[in-house]
Amino acid sequence: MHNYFDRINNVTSFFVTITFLIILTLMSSTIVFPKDLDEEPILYSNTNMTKKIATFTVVYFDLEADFEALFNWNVKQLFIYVFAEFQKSNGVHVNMMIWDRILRRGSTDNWVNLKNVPAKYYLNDLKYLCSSNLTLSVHWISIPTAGVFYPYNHKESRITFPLPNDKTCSA
Amino acid sequence: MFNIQTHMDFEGQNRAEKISRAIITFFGFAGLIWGAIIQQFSQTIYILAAGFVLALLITIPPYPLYRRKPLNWQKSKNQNSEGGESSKKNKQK
Repeated sequence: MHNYFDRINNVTSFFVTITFLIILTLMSSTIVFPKDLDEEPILYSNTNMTKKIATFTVVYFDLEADFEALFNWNVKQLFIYVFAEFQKSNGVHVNMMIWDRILRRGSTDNWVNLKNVPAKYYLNDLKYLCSSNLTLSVHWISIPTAGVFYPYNHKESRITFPLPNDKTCSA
Repeated sequence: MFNIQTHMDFEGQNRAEKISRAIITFFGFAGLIWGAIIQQFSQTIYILAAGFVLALLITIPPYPLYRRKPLNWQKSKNQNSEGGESSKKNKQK
């Protein structure tokens, strides 16, 4: 602390220590006070909304949820996605992401309201898709300012319906 | 050429260190609380950075505040040959 350099060094090192402690507090605040949606997201789809186009099966669905409630000071953006689960006729269990969206903090359209929207990614294994049940579910991951990627699975909504059968199935 | 003093006395160094730590801790704590209230972590970092700059401004320059108790050095003895002899004599006594 005798000369300028020593004093600057001392103050800066203490500043860095405090910064580290503050970021540690921020990280632990996410774990201690986890946030959840106020209401369960409303996900709807049915057999008639699912269309077979050539070799693809396109799932159309409705989704309504207010994700604004999930944003706190440690959430930079949210990654929301819809999973499709089904059992192939050869016995393989498939868990596939069919739709996703990135929600940013401060954006005005964090209230997701989709009506009869086609999935971004298609189910394209036509041969094994016949006469199986499809289960859709909504999930989300928060991308934090500091800390670990925190997967939320508290209020998830699920819907199960049979996939349509058509003449390609009997063939 | 320029006789600019950069040092603090021992009491002043102690005081400067205490003040700088108090300022940064206080601003960090206040920033944490304010950031938690308005849920904006960037505000926490800005407040902490303001505290850092304030601590630098207050405790880096050697203000008279930090130089109130200078050490009373013994007066220098003459370094010529006579003085040397006299000190030897003093030791022998």
